[in-house]
Amino acid sequence: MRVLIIEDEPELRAQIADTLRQQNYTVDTAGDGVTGLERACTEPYDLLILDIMLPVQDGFAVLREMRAEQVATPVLMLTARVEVEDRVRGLDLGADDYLLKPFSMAELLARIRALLRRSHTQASPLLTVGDIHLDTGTREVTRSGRPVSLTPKEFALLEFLLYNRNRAISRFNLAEHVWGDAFDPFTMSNTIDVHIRNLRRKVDDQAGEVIVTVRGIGYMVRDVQP
Amino acid sequence: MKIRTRTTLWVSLAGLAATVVLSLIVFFWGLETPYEFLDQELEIRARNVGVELARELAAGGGVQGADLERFTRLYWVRIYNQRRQLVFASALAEEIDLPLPAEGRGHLVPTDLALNRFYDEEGTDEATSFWHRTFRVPVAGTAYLVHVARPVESLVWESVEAATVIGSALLASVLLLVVVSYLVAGRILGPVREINRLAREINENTLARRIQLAANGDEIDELAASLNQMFDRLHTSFRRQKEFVANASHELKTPITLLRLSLEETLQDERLPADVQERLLAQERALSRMHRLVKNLLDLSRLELTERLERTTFCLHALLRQVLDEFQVLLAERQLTLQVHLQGACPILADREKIQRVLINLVDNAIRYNVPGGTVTCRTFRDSVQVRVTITNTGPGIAAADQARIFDQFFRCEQSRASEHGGAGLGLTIAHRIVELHGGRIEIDSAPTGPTCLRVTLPLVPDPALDAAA
Repeated sequence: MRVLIIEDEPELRAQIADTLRQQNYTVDTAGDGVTGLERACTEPYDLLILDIMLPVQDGFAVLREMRAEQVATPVLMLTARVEVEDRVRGLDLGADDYLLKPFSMAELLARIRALLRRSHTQASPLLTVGDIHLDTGTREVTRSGRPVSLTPKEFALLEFLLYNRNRAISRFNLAEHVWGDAFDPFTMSNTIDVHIRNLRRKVDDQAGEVIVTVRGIGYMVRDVQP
Repeated sequence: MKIRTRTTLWVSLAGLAATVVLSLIVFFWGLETPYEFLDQELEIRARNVGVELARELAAGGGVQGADLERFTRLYWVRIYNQRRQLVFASALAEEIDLPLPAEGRGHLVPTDLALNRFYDEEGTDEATSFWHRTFRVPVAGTAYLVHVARPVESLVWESVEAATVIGSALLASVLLLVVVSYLVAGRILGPVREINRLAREINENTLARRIQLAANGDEIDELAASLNQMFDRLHTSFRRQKEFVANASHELKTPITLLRLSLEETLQDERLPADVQERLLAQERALSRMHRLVKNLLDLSRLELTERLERTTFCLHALLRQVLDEFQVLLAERQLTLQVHLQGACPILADREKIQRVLINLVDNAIRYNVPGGTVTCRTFRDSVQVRVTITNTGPGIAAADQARIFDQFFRCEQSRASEHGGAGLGLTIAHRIVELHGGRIEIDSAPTGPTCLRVTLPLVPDPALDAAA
């Protein structure tokens, strides 16, 4: 899952970015509203963390403009303001949730997970397909109750495919969401195939039952009919 | 010849000519003046002699000479009556003879008398010259001719002395002129040197710099102001061009994204006939390439419109290992050997995302242009002021002519274009710009037969937080 952090305080920004990277999220950052808006409108993100107090263009303006550009990415806004009006204003401008500063990283992560669930109409924090369970909270994967050890990239791939189950995801999209845009998706295409192969070996031994290869396009996690 | 030297030369020559003329005037005027004083002195003496003569004649008994003798002791005096008969000669006039000069102004006449007879302090051997002149003095109705002379010191030494003084003053003033004009020329030309330095340094990326104006309104200041205006115009048009690229790619991105989404949506349909699906997939691939290109263009123009750096402290080695990790699959696929020489931690204060991008582009490049079975080598060197990353590949090497252009936009070497390596030729341009933003430099080192080494040197920026902790 790819997250954009728009936050002007360098230390907080780095701290959030590090925490998210440890959780296998792909993270981009922006230090001001203009750059943030630009990124949010032109890159596919799964979530935006947006500080309201920003130089040049504040968070409200970023929200208003990105929603006007039809960008539907879920937005978690960070605010130091305790006034109800501000929170209401943010939510009415299209934010999906807010977090009052100062906050704990654990709460931030929980809110991010909740937002990701909501935006993918996923009720449970447990992403399940067949006998495979991915716990978005504990970041653990089990198969028939037995824990499976995945590399960070394998975890991120599986998580993204599970959130978008029953959709064929192109390698280009996988590269963008799991590796971020610094990598050339065309160079990464074989790498993705290898990671998928490894992932299948770990969670899907009748190869192609859970993680389906969609010819020419990419991959898809399909609900297994019981 | 430099303007400074030329100015110094001309000013000095002009000054020299003026002072030489002035000196000559002063010198010759100075030589004439003592004789004019002598003439006046002799005239006064002659007139007094006339008065004395008149007194003696009026007393009766002709010219006695006793009083005249006392009166003319230090002078050589002869008095003639109108019939040119000598009526009186002073003691000195008895002793030596002086020829009667032509009437008018005085003359110098040399004699054998030793000078020290008149002037105690003077040199012993020197002969005395006399300045003499005749005057017609009317005494009791008749005109007497008074021939007066007085010994004079030789003025040669005085002339030499005056010439020496004037000469050395001349030399001093010329030296002063040279020094002052050299300094003044330097001062006047100082801004020109400054302009020259800036003009040499200014390039596409430093167009925001301006010449410091002295605000004194002189011609050089006007030139600097005009140049600054020219830089303004250039800067604006460069900026406009970059903004155009940024705007164009931004505008292109939205429809491309929409197209991609719609294509992807269409491709979700499993009932599509195989041939339609094939064609849609080909379109999707082309579209993805276009998307990538537009994205890179947008990133590059963002970087060129001087995007700010978001510096944080991170370990360069950890980041490099992480990046290399993502390429493991690719390395294995091309049977490339990876050699990593990284020792210890390497904390730097830099923009992590951008540096990651540089590393990705360089490693990507090193793999893309390598030969199967080749080697990719990563090394870092660190000293107190900078850190250097080198990424070497055993590819076919790059011709010297191409090396200079390798960081240009859309540049790809002939051999790489031929062998379809993909990529739009923006990766190294982006890396170059990011390194530049960090105040570092990126260089290529390649022999035509390989290996090719890309070197990134970043200056170490002191981290106030780390320093405080230490």
